[in-house]
Amino acid sequence: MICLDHVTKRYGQVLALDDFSLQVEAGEFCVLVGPSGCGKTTCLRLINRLLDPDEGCIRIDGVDIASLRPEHLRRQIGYVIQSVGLFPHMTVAENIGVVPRLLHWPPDRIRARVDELLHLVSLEPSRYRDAYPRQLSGGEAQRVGVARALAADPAILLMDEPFGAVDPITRDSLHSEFARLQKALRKTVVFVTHFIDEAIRLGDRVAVMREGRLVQHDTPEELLAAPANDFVRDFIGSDRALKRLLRFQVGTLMRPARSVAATLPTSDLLPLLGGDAGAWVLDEAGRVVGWVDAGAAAGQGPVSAAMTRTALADITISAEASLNQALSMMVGLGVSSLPVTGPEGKLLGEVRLEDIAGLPPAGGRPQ
Amino acid sequence: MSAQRNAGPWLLLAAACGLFAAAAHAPGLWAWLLGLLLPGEHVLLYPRAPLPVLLGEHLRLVGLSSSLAAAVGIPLGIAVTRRRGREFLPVVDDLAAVGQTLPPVAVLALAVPVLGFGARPAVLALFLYSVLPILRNTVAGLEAVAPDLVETASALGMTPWQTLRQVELPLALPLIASGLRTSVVINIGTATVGAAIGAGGLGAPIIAGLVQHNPAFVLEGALPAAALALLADACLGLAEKTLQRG
Repeated sequence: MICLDHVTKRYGQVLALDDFSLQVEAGEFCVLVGPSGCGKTTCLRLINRLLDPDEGCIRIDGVDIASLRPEHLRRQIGYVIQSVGLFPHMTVAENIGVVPRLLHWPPDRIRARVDELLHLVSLEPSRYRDAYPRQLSGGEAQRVGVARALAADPAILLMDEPFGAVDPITRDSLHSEFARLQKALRKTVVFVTHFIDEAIRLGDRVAVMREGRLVQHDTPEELLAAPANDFVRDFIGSDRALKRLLRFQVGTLMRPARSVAATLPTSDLLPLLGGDAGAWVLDEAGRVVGWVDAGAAAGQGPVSAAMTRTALADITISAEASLNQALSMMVGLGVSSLPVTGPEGKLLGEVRLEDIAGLPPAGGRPQ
Repeated sequence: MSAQRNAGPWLLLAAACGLFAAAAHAPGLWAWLLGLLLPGEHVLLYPRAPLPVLLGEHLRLVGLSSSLAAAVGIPLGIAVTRRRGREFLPVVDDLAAVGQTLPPVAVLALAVPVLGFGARPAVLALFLYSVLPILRNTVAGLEAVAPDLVETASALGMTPWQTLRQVELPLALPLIASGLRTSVVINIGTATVGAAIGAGGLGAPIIAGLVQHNPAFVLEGALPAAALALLADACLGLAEKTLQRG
C-alpha cells in the first residue's frame, strides 16, 4: 500500500503539490490524470525518491520511505517512462537484466528471467535477446521497457505516460496487452497520463488532479456517472457514454458466431445457417476470410466464390479490445457485427451492435 | 561476431606498422632513399644515433606525456561534470585552454631553469599541450549523454558511481577516445621540438640538419615522424570505430 500523507512540494516559487494526500491499495491500478503542470509526475517521482517532499511524508506498507536508502527503495519499484530510457549501448537482454544485476543475481538466473519476461511481453526471446534498442520499433521498445521494470518482480510499478510516444494503433494493442498482464500480475501500479481515455480504460481507480490538488479519486464508473465538479466534467468531455465503453472488453459481450468452410458448396448453405442472415467464412486454418449471405444459397459452386471477401486485419477485433473500439469499427465499416479472433486469426465468436446498445446504463459493474 | 568483420583493417594496419618498423631498422634502405632524393649530399645519415633509438626516444616522450594527460584529463573531466564539481567546470576549462595557448617552445624555455635539460621539461610541455583536447572531449562526451538515461539509471536503483560506470562512461567512450587520438597525433608532431633541449627523439636529426644545413638529416627525422603520426591516427581511429560499434 502506498500512502501520500499531506505532501507539499515546491519548485522555487511554484507549488507543484499542495497538501496532497492519496492512498493506493496493494494490487490496485491507480491512474493519476490531469492537465500538464497539475503535479502528477511530481507525485510519481516522490514515490521512488527521485524527489523528496518539502512537507508531509510518504509510506509504503507503513514504512516512511525517507528512512530508506534511495537506491535500495528504487530496486524494489519498477519504473517506466515515456521516452522508454533503454540504454543504447546495451542489448535488450542487458537492459532487462539491469536491476537483477544490481541485486547480484547469478547470471543463469538473470538469463532465465530475461527469457521469461520477453515471453511475457510477447517478444520472441531468440529474436530479441541480443538486439540493440535502435533496432526496435516504438512498440517493441516500450514492451522491453515494461519487461525491464518487471525484472526483479517488484510489488510496485510506476509508469509515467509509458504509452504516450507510440502511435494510436500500437497504443491500443499495448493497452490490451497490459490489461491482460496486470490481471495476471496484480502489481500495485501508479500510472500517470494526460489522456482521460487511457485513465478510464486501465484504472481500477482514477485520481483527477489540478494545480497540485486532488479533485476526485474514484472508480472510472463513478467518475463518469458522477463527476465531482465542472472541471472533472469538462476534462472527461461530453461523450461520457462512449468513454464508458472503454471499460468493457469485447470478450464480455462476445456470442458464438455461425461459420461455414470456404469449400462448402453453396447448395448446402441454407440448412447450416439455421435461419440466420449469413455466416462468417473460414479457410482451412479457421481464419476468417469473408462473409456469406443467405441469398448466395441460390447460386452455384463453393461458398468462397459467392462470399464478400475481406482482409483479416480490417474487420476482426480481439477479445481484449474495448467495446469503444468495436463500436468505432462498426460505425466506420457500416456493419452491425464484427468477428472476434484469437491468436493466429482463429474465429472465437462475434460482437453485435445491438448488444452494445443494450448494455445496462451507468451504475452497473463491468466485467 | 563483429570480430571477424573487423579483422581486415586491423591486419592491414599491423602490416603497415611492421613494414615501418622493418624500414626503420634498415639503415642501408634509408641511405639509399635519401641519396635518391638528395643526390648532392655526402653524409646522409645522422651519425649521433641510429633511427630505431631516435624512434624509441620519441615514442617514450609521446607515450609518457599522453598517458599523463589522459590520467589527468579524463578524471578531471569526470569530476567537473558531477553535481558537486560542476561549479569548477569554467575554471578547469580556462586553465586547460591556457595550457594549449602557451606554445610548447615557450614552456620548454620556462621549464629548463627548473627541471634542467633532457626529457623531463619536454614531457611537461607536451603534457600541458595535450590535456585540453582530452579534457574537452571527456566533458563533451559526458554532457552528451541524454539526461533521461541518467535519470532512468538512478530510477532503476543505480548509485551515482554505478551510473557513471555502467551508463555514462560507455556512452561517452567514443568521444573520449577521439580526444585521446587528437592529443596523441598532435603530440607526435610537437615532440620534435623537445630535441632543442636535449630530449632526443626524431627532432634530433631535424635540428642537427637545420644547424648543419643538411636536408638529409631533416628528412631522416621528419619522414618517420610523419609516418608515425599517420599510423597512430589510423590505429586509434580504428579503435574508436570499434568502440562506437559496440
